[in-house]
Amino acid sequence: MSGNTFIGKKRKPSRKPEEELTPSGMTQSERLSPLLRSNLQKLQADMGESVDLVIRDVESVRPKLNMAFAYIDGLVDSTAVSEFTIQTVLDESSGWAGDERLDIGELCRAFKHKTLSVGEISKAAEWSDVYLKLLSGDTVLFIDGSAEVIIAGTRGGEKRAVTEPSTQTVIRGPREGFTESIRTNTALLRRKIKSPNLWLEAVRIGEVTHTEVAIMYLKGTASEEIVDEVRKRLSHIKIDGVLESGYIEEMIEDTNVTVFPTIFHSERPDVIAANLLEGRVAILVDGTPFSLVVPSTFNMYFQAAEDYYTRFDAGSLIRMLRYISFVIALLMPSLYVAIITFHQEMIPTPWLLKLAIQREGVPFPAFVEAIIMETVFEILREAGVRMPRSVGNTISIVGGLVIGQAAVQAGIVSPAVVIVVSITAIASFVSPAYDLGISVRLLRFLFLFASSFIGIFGMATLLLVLLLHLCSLKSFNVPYMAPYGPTILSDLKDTLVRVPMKLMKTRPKLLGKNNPNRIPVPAPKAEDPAAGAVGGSLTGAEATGTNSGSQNQ
Amino acid sequence: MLRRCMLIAASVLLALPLGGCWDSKYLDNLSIVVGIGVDQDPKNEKNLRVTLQTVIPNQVSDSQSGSGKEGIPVINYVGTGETLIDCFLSAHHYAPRRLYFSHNQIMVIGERLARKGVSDIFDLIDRDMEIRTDFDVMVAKNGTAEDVLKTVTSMEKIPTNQIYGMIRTMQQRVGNLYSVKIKDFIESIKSVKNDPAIPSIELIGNADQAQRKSNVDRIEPENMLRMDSMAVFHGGKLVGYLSDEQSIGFSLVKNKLKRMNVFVQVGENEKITVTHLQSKAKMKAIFYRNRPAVLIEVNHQSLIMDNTSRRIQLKDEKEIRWVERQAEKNEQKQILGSLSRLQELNSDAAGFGRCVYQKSPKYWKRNKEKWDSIYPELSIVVQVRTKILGTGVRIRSYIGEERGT
Repeated sequence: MSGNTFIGKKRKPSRKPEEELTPSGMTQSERLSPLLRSNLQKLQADMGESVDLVIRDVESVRPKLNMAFAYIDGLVDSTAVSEFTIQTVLDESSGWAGDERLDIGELCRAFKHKTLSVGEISKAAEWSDVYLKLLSGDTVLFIDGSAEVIIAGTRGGEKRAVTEPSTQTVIRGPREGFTESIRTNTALLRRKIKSPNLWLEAVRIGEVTHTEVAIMYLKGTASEEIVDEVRKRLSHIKIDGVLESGYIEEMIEDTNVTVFPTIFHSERPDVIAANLLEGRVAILVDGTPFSLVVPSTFNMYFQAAEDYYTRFDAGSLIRMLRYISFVIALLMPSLYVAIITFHQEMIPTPWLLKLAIQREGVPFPAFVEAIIMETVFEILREAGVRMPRSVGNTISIVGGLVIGQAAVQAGIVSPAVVIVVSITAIASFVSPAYDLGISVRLLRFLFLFASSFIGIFGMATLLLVLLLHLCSLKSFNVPYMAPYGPTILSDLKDTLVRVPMKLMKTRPKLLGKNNPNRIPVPAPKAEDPAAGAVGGSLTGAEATGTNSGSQNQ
Repeated sequence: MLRRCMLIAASVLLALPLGGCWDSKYLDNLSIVVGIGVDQDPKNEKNLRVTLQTVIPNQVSDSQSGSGKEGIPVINYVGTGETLIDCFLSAHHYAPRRLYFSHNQIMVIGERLARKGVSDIFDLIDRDMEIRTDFDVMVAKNGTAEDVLKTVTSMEKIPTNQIYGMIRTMQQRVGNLYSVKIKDFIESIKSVKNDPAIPSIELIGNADQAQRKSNVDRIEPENMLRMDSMAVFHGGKLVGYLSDEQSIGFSLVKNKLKRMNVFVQVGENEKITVTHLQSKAKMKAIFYRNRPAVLIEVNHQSLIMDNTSRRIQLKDEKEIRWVERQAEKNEQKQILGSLSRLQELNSDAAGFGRCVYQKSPKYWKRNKEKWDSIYPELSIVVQVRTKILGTGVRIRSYIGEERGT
């Protein structure tokens, strides 16, 4: 926590993140009334007397003052509400004996500065702010006679614990994954990058849901244009609700007319941290463990976290294996169809004879056969993902035995096509990024069509079209195929191969323009922000280590 | 932007079926031809008779469960006609599926046809895109190609595979023949600068019995195929065969030899065998008093393979050098023997014409017409250098050792 403390202190002069939250969807910009009763009535009425809205009346006798706490049950940390908020106010008000002429404004200040022993305290005068805070889990203190309310930060309630991510698993590497709580997620990143230059901005998106969306980047490293572009695109989003980062992804991507993902996502803090260090910008969305990273390049979808945790030679080999399996997943079924239908001369005779034996008596042409098996596989896969876990065995029995073996024995499909589809299926899951696998699945069918009509020629043509398309793509104005497309020699160090860490001295050219060296070169310019960051964060953290949290919520 | 993308996508998709599966040929509608036999039609001297060996897929399998393991996995279709294409079309009369030639592996030419001349029949093979030109070609010695392709074999279920394997094995282990691709054969058949030589294959036994399944029911089949030495051509016609020894010498000159043994006779029953590990032959023409001659230099690196001699114990350098010299002498004789046999047959299979042409194109131009008469008289010089690198895992032979020591 010491790191957080320090960061909070350092940042405070420049910005107050909570105030940046723009309640974009809130139409009620009405001001509060000074009358407690009417405020509470309006609250009850606005929320349709929802049963989880708790209103706790508090009365102090002298001075005669009516107050009421309002909070949403389940969203708040109930200990904080009862012990640090209600309890303290009750204690304090009992000690006010005699002071009849207590000024409301002073009272508020007293509450704010003395009484309430929670970390975050703020005031609000408009209903929109009140609702935003209330529904985020804060406790609102209404005071009779005051047109302002005091808001105590008591956010809490049930959260899922930090667990191992179920996608992008590693054998060696950190086991923690993001959760649905954005605060946990930002903290996970802060724990990885203890630098004051890790800046966090937040916006609220969704006319109804008011979901908190945070932009995280390394100030001084990430390109300002990209950060600005992210801010701009996020501010242009008009949507009623954001339930997953996929919503944001689709709303801010450069083009929807592509099957390729142009925004990378991950639920691994280490992956996001590594991308932040490269100068990319992370977009975290409350309510989902999947964070977005922009700009993304084609190359990123082949980089697994583990490449960097194992030895570089092993990492490089596996990297190449991923590219190969990408090609297999994309082309294998169409190549099979092309060979069976057009280019029998392409393969060695003994092999052709084996294929001929298998094709003997199969009633469908190779294309139909391949389509059938591909479709069956897709059905199996989809069923496997969606169905209840308790019936999981059924899939393997039905899928493996009935479809794999029985179909071959019955002579409906040839064993070769089963092998082809299986290899393809496995190869399509090799990519550490699941969404690239989806693109490949879509394209595979296109290739199947092309090869069934004009064989290898069709495949080659389509490959060419695909390559052109890939080269035309951009992600936040960074070419998608960089560093292949615009060839950037120095960035090829982390593409097909991963060079040893000692040689990875520079950040990707297109991203880390501001701060190209990973390890700051000792230069006369002492004001280099990154250099200050590395040195300063450690000493700073130690110095302020004992100071208890001002940033914690 | 979106509109344009849709248009492009639509036009690509619409363009796809325009091909209309042109040229599609499903694997299960093909008869895969693996061997072609070309003979003279016995009924009509002018015509060809072609045997096409095609595979019956579901009879080939041994790994797959199912029917047909007992059958013969190939069927031969026979067609006759004036040209190869006529024959192929006529063979189609019997074939339920389209004959598919891309996987053809061998071509056998019947001896009668070969002697009559084959220079004018191969244009189709050179021209057609489906027929590859990298299959082996050979002569059916003392018989017809049809009989050769009719023989049931047991090691390889498909007879052409057996023949294909036999050529490779012979080339590597014995060296008395080397595989010749049809494209090389076609190239040299009309050339004046060299003549083709191709391996020959012979059916030992009775052709009618050989094609029955019962043929391979015996451990030692009565009717078998046997690879024989090289058959040499001149002017598109088969002119004769080299003996095994001559074939080895010839292969050596053509740099096709993978392995060769040379014997050095020491005494009555004492012999040393030298095996060449690496051989390199160089052939060049020289002019001596305005007459061409051919100089052949052969360099070997060798091992002693076998020594049954008591007298030569390979004890010292001197003895090894002596063996080297003897081996060189023997080999020189062998090479000269095979080359003079070629001269006797008036077949320039070794390609001396090309050597002379490369040395002096002018001379070649003047004497091209007379080459047939110059060639048999050409003097040939052969130089052999052998370097024995080792004597195997022992030096002295146990044979020469004194008893009881």
